[in-house]
Amino acid sequence: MKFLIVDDSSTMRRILMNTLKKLGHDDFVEAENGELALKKFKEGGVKIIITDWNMPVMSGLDLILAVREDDPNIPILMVTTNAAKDDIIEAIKAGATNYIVKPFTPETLEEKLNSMLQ
Amino acid sequence: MDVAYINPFIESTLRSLDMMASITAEKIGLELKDDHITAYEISAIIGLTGGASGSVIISLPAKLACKIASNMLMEDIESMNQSVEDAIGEIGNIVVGDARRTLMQDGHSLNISIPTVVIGAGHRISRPGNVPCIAIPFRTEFGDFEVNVGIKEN
Repeated sequence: MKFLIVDDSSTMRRILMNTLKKLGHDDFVEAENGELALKKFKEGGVKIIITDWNMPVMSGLDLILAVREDDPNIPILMVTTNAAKDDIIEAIKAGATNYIVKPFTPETLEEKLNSMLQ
Repeated sequence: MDVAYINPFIESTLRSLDMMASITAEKIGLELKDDHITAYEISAIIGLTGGASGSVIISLPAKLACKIASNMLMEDIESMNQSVEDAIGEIGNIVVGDARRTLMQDGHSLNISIPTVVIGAGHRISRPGNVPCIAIPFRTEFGDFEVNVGIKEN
């Protein structure tokens, strides 16, 4: 199962990939902004997207909106410091399947990922 | 400086290190920062704009920085490298982002910049003289570190 990991922080991309490896997954593509992520998504094969919100060039929110034009069903997890109720509503309305707020424990990240993988 | 700005940074520092790096920290003081010289080896600088302006500087010794990076990345990192520098930038982003969330819930409006990371023992970070700065020292089993919060309401 191919994951698309999108974050302008290389550290956060590694945290997400290392957690997914612990869960037995090893097929990843990475992108440091929404525009590059959209290109990789359009190349095909991606089954789950994990994206930050605030990124240069193209935000995670705009990425979700663009992806949903092509695929209304692909699971998308948003990982962000934006935690106000209005932010969460905005992300879900845009098409995020689930949402995790930084800081998070490894256990919480694993729970969110497992719930999306089921 | 409105003291309401300080507690969110103390809480977010403790919470972020605990949740993201499994490191327990303890606040060991609070003081007005007069000098510019830091005693540590790596600093993350995050700018603040909006309803208030200034910066937050998180300064740490190399040993603690390596431990934070190791725990965040679930890898064994024993000496300073790009991974550690990136991790410290990210933990700074998370600390300030989490504090910002609390401040916005309390009615303060703040935007935060992408972190800049400075490396080198005894590095000196200059701040505008008209922005008051509070230094918050913390202790962990891997060494002490300091969070400097310099904010002036606009």
